[in-house]
Amino acid sequence: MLKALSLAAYVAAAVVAVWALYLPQRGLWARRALAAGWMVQSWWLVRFGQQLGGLPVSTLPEWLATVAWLVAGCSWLAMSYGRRYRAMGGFLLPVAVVLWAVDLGLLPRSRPGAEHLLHGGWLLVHVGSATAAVVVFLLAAVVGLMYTEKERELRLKSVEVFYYRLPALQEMDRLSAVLAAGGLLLWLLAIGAGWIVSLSRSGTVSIFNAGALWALVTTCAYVAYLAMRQFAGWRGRRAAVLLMTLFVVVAVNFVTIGRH
Amino acid sequence: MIGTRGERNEITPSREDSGVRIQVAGMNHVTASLAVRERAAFAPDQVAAACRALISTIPAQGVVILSTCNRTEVYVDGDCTLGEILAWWQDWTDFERTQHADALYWHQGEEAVRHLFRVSAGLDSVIMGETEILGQVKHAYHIAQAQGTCSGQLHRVLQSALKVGKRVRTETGIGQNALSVGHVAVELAERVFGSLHGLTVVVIGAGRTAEIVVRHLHDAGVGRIAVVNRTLAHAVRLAELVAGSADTLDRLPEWLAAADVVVSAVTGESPLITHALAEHAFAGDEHRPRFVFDLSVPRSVAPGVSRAGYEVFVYDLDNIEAVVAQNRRQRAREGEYAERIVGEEVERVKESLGGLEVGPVIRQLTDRAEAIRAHEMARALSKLDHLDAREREVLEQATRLIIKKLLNDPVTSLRRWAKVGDHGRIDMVQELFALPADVQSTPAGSKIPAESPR
Repeated sequence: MLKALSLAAYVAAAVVAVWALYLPQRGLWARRALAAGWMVQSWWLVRFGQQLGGLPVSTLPEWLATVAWLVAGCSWLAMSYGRRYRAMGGFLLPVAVVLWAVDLGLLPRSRPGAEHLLHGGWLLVHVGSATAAVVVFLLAAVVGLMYTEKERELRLKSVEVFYYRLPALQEMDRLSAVLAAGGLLLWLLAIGAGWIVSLSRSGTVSIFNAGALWALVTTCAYVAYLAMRQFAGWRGRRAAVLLMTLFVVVAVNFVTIGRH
Repeated sequence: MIGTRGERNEITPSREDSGVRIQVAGMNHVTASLAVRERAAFAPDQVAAACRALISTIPAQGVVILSTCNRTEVYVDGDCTLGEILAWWQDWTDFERTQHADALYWHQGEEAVRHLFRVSAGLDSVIMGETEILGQVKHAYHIAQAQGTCSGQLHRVLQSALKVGKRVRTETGIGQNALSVGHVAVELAERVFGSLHGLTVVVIGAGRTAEIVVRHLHDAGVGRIAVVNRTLAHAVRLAELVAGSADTLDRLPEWLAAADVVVSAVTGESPLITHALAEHAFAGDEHRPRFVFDLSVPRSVAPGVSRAGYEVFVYDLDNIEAVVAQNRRQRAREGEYAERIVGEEVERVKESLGGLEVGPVIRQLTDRAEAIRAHEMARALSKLDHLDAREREVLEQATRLIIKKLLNDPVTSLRRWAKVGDHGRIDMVQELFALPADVQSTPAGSKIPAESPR
């Protein structure tokens, strides 16, 4: 019931947030619906965590629920406090809705039990920083998407919506780079913590497994992105498209082989 | 507008059901030519004296005069006629009311309040959403306050007008989006680069068009301006105006390479910025965003420049005009929302002023009931000497409670009737309880200055 309620509120908030791109005055309603949905989901997560006896991030469905909650929270912050980023809700909220809706289809298969518990501080650091990194990479990709949409309007000389509602191109370009760099730091922290966990459990660190290889690919991809910006002067549309593509790499990593 | 001359001037304002007594007579840029507005205007140093003179001439409780270059409006709180206002206005200025009746408009009650709110919101301005008018309304209000001519009702309505002005500007984008070529150039650059500080602007040409745009960019705070022109002397002249540097067209490739924003306003048969020139100038820095304003006719930027894989946005005059048109539509859309805010606030003021009307009636009713209770209690207690202090207090409280409960429903009904403007029923209550009929409404918390000339 709580899950359905929060999903309904998120759907309403997403619809109104997209509408608010055209009529910004509607943004208040989007924020209200989002706040309601987020509180309900928070309450559900707390209860679910209590049943599990730990953080709900051990399985893919649990993890998706947490990511959806974080994305919704980021949307609310952007819509409430990001003076020039209020329109970001119109881009982020649909993602939160999709994540939460997909998750609701998966969750029944997840039952609270001892096998779900995360033991050890480093494992928590590993999972926590990896989750945060994914959310930050998502934010970078969303800012990249916003960039391409506004740039498209400007290039076509058909200023309609994004021209008015989104921040300046260069500002979004810089923000997406900062987010990518921040996400990479969290990602490296996650990998470091994962190595420590692996060492403490098996005494060795292997990079010859699918999870480790994908983590390496993701790291190399984001390092390459930042290097291209720094040394080859990649900016603007090309950099934004690359960021969106890189997020697909991250998403594939987590959805397919993230749990190890 | 007042279409007929003379005969309508004696119209007496009808007291509206809403309880709003305000009326406004005035003219603005739409209804009157500049020549007429000049004659009817009050000089800034005359407004205070005019307020005092008007309130001592006509039967009104309050007067506020708003006189700007685009409008002159006289707001009156009172039952005076339009003819009285216009007669005084004619005496005070060179304005001939019989000749310029068509230039005048007159609104009463709710419509007068709505008009003031629209004015404060910038919905009635030459450039919709301009902000200067809000300061002018505030100034007019302060003058009236200082002169003691701002009645309680005018005070409430003007406070609300200032609130409406602020609300419209915070909740809508009515004042945003440029409507001239120069402003649009700045706006477009800002939409791409954000802050213009630190940007290099290269101006090709030194004519009037280039000057207008470059002045706007200079005012917006661009970092560096270079004027490139065939004749160096002309370039120097324009560069001096905006504290920039000047150069000849020979060095255009170097300047193009350094430019973030290019303003090209030259005359010539063939494009000045060709594909080859752009390729040469942008080589090695293709991903850096650049904005090129091609204000030349015929165009001075080759069509291929914006399609050559660079982060270059080329906008010619038609493109800029299209942005202006879209901005106009955006403002109109925001204007619709602003009208809704005005409507909401008018309703709020009506409700508040309606509530004000009934306040004194309620007070008289409760005072009368309390007087009767106190009198009868005193008589009864004089016959009950054996009661101690605590028992007397219990009786006092019980009788107060009876009065309170008895009046609760009538008071609620009075407030409800005031909200819907049902003055007939309120009058009936006054008659039923023999309350004095000449009750004056006085808003709670608002001051009617004691030094009022009337």
